[in-house]
Amino acid sequence: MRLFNSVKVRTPESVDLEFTLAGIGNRAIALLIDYLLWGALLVTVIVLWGLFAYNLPLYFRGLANSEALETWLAAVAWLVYSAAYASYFVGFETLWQGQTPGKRYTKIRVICENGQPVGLAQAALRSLLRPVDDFLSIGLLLILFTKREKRLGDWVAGTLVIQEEPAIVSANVALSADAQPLADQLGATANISALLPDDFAVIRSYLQRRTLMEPKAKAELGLQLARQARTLIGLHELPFDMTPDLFLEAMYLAYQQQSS
Amino acid sequence: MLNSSPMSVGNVVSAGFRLYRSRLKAYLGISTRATLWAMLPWALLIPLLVVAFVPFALSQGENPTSLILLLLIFPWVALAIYCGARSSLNSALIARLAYGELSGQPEDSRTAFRQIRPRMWNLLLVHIAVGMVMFGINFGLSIAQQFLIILPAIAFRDAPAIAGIFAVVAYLGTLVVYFWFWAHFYIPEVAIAMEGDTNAFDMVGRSWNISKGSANRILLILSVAALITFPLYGLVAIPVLPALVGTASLIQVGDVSAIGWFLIAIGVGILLLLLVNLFTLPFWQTLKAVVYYDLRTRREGVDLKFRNSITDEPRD
Repeated sequence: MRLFNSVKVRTPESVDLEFTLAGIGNRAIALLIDYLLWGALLVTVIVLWGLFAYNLPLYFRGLANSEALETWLAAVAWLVYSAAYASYFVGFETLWQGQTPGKRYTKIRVICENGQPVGLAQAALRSLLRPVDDFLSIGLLLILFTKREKRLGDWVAGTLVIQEEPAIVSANVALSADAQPLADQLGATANISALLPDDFAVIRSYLQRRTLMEPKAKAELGLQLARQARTLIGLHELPFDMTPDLFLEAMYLAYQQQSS
Repeated sequence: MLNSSPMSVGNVVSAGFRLYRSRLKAYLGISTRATLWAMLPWALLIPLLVVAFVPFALSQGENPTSLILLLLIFPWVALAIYCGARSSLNSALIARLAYGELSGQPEDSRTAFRQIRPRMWNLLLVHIAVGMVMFGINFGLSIAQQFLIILPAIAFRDAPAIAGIFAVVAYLGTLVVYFWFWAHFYIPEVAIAMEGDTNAFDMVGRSWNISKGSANRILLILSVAALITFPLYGLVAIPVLPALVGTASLIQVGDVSAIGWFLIAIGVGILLLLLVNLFTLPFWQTLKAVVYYDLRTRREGVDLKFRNSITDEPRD
């Protein structure tokens, strides 16, 4: 089994795409954030409208038909409130291509079952069924126990909630100044091309993440990786004494130079 | 199953649930055993009390009850400790199985059980150690809290509203600090289940070290997980709470026969809660395994390995 649930979709152009589903954790966090923001929005609307509706009749005090004005105000209030109520999820999901603030924070997105971005219709259907899904946590149970993690709103709208692919950012690795000359030397003497991309990725991850590691565990891991990396590139002796980290930094640079 | 980088909060929770579902049947069996062991001493307490109090009721004058209780209480405590250890052994077994899946070295229940069986007392010890540490922290925090409440109350004698605000902030603040510590001592149980025969108190220290800088994340993970399990408890509350309130109000107006129904409602409530616990316990344990694995990924880089072929030590 795989740690995260994935799903294959076929686009209208018959291209098969594979997505990782959002998962219950991300969806719960997104929902929590969205409900907090949504609640804050609704409270703000109610307070602002309350101030407006209280002050407006003061300007029309002399008017004969003030009762009608109040009825109208109540009606418009209901409209404004409903608009705010409905527009949060529908508005964000339509304008932000399937994302709401909560979904953006957790890096998940609603898409159509054919991989297309969602439109107004899908967002509206999902939003319409939200109260039903919230009732007795039906939506939660469906997300937990169905294969494609779809709540009722997703079934009706024909949508999936997926994780965004992490953007490939250029590796931000802090290297010491001594690494460059060593890398040149390694490039000249060792068989750097024996290093596979996966091996390089391990070295890069280590160099990126080492500062957050526990010092003792980091020292052990660095030494172990350096020894194994040395075997990988066919070196028996190191050119001269160096720390494991420096050696790995040099390998990192040498691999990059060799492949560029 | 290997995952090769630190996970986000949401993904930790999702992974915990995926692991839970992947071996649900086995986990539920183990969880049932853990629950039954935990319940056994309490179930035995009922006949024990009957044995102790029946002579008292019969003899009317003389009172052998205290003597019988005294004779029975020590074996009962010993049994309760043993049952507690057996229960925590089974809980830890779930965490170990889940961790095995995560690290790409899955075990079957029997092998895993054989592995951790000798660590039973260590597991109990680590629970006790964490309990003691948290007791100490709670004690210190309570004193600090009292200072934070009493001093402003004296300073703002004329403005009770301000003193009240200080009190609320002090309560919430100490609660947050308490939970922050608690998150640091969340995983020693899995550490023992995985790494074995080390001293329980060392593992508490290890839990503290490995979770440095991650306490808030762990708290968020646990909150989200609680949010997911919450509806299950709601399902228990929906029938039980009205029954309790209803029968209690009948008792209040003098309906003696309602007492029986009230007790039955409590009994049913406890049984339902146990049932829900039986289902949620494995989830909490698989989640704990994911948290531990994720912490080891972050702090020790356990996921950083080259191809299998070269993991042997080089021949110098």
